[in-house]
Amino acid sequence: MKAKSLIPSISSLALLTVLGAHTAVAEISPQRMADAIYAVIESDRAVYTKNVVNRLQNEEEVIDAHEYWEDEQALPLPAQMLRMGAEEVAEKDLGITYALLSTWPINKQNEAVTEIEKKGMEFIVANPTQRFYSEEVLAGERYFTAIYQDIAVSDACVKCHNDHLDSPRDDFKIGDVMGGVVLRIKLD
Amino acid sequence: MRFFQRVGFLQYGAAVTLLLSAFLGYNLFVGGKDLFLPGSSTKGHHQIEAQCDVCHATPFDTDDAMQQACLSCHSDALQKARDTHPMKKFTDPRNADLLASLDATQCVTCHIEHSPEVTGQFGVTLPPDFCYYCHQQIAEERPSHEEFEFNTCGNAGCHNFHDNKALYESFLAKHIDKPALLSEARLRVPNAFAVWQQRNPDAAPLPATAHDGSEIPGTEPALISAWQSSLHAQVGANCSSCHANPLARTDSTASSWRSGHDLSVASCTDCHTAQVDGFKQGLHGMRLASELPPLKVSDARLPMHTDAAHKSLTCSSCHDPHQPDLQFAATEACLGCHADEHSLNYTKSAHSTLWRQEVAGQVDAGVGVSCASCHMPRIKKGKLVSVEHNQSLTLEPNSKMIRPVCLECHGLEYSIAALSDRNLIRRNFSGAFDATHPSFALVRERIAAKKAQKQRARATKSNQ
Repeated sequence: MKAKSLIPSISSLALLTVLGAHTAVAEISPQRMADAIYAVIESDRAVYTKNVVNRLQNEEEVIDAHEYWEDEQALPLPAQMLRMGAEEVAEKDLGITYALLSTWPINKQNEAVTEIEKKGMEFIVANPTQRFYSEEVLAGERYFTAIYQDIAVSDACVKCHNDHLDSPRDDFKIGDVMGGVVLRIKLD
Repeated sequence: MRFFQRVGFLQYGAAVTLLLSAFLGYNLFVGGKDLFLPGSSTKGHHQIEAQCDVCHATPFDTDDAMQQACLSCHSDALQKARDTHPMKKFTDPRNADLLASLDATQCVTCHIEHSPEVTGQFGVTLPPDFCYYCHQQIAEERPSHEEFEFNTCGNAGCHNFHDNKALYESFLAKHIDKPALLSEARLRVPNAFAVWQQRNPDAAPLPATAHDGSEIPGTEPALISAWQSSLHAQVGANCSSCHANPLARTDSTASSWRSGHDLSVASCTDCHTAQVDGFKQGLHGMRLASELPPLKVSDARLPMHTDAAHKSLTCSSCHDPHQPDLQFAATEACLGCHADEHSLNYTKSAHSTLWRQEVAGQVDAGVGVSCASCHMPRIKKGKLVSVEHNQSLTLEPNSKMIRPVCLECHGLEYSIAALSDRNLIRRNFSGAFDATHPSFALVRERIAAKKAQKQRARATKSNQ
């Protein structure tokens, strides 16, 4: 009886071990997850910039993109699309947040605030090909924080930021790091 | 002592407790619950203060439940205002330090109810310099703001916390130096009937003989005649459309005809859903949304005509259902109740003169300005111009009125200056006033700075 009852127990244990191993394999590191989410954010924005804004505003000249898009009956700027998406995600309260920050922000509320943000923004500007990863504790919660370069990809980005009266910098060129996307994942 | 010895202390205590319980119980379950209010409610909520569970779903609500209660009524208005400080802007953990000073994710951080001793303008219960918590470096970013104290940020015509649609810098710049009165000063004209006719080209008005109200109690020839000349008959709405009780179709015990609130509000909803919804969101109709009896004029906190005290507010208070008269609804209906200084001075105003001319057919539709022109803006969506029936939507801060109303006829600086002048508002915009506003001086400086910056950039380029 003992031997018989052991067989299902061992089988269960083996199955659990396999499942456990499978679960371990299926886990994703915060860094990989952050990179994947950033890839979605960045790709969506690139598609919007290229296939919507650039096509309709610059190539077909059908409609402009404008900071005050609602009043001007225009398209939102690509950076605004990113911010609006970030606000939608924030509303879902999934433990993931992201924000577009800069060392030279037009709106001062968008400059680095936390120590990690300040360190990370300095790092990505000094190292334009490397990403910045760290962990930080905010309001008692632990977060994995990744910061990715936000590069000036079109004339529109450069012109708007160089011309804007509230911009603290007026010498951006295409290819410059204009800021960074800060992505946080809450660690349980 | 002799009394206690005779009756017994316990019996006496039990009797007092019972009496007190009965008194409090009556107040809680039958009366106005005023004994249970921790303090007087704000002017925006006193209408529904007896319905505690509108805001307090349970006696010991969590912050989250309270927040949801606020949003269940106010989220639509905040969205329409393009809220500049929405909750979702603050939930990012990077704002933790800011939130520790001022938790902008919760309505009750700034709007605590039942605290009249600390309640200021717009129901704000924080000291007026609260902007300091997050914008303390504003003078570094904008040297022009150096001389301003933080308790002046919310001055009329400068900044609002939620609704800055008519106050943001680019908007001011775009409208700078517009004249006080535009050359094409004309309000949009509601066109629901014209749009309906376009969509129903074959519809014919119902003749008087087609009415189906013979069996309705109180039917009189005068009512039939009034109905026949009304828009209701024009669009084919017969007596039964409003008076027949739809419940009677499935419930044999139900009355065949609607009455009371069911007739004066619910029947209107069948066709005028957006208007009734708007009405229920405003101060006039919010009791109906909370399933309370209609607001009585005698319950109002603003000065009202004493002979109107008995009136209550439903759709039919302003619109006689048998002969809907939109001109009556736009002024006389309001002035029949409201007796504050602003309302009493309306008939002396230029707006009123133009309105009388419009009613008399002496000027085009849209030239006159009634009470409703300002307080119930005409909203254009596609081809349809309809009347916003939430008369509170643009009431406070009054700069909400600028875009849907004032700018139809006036320049922006003139409008902001007028709405910033409390005395002028009391006079209902009659008489002289200073039609300039400090915000525009700042914008003119900024425009000059921008030009100078561009000139410098051009000079640098040509020197290279």
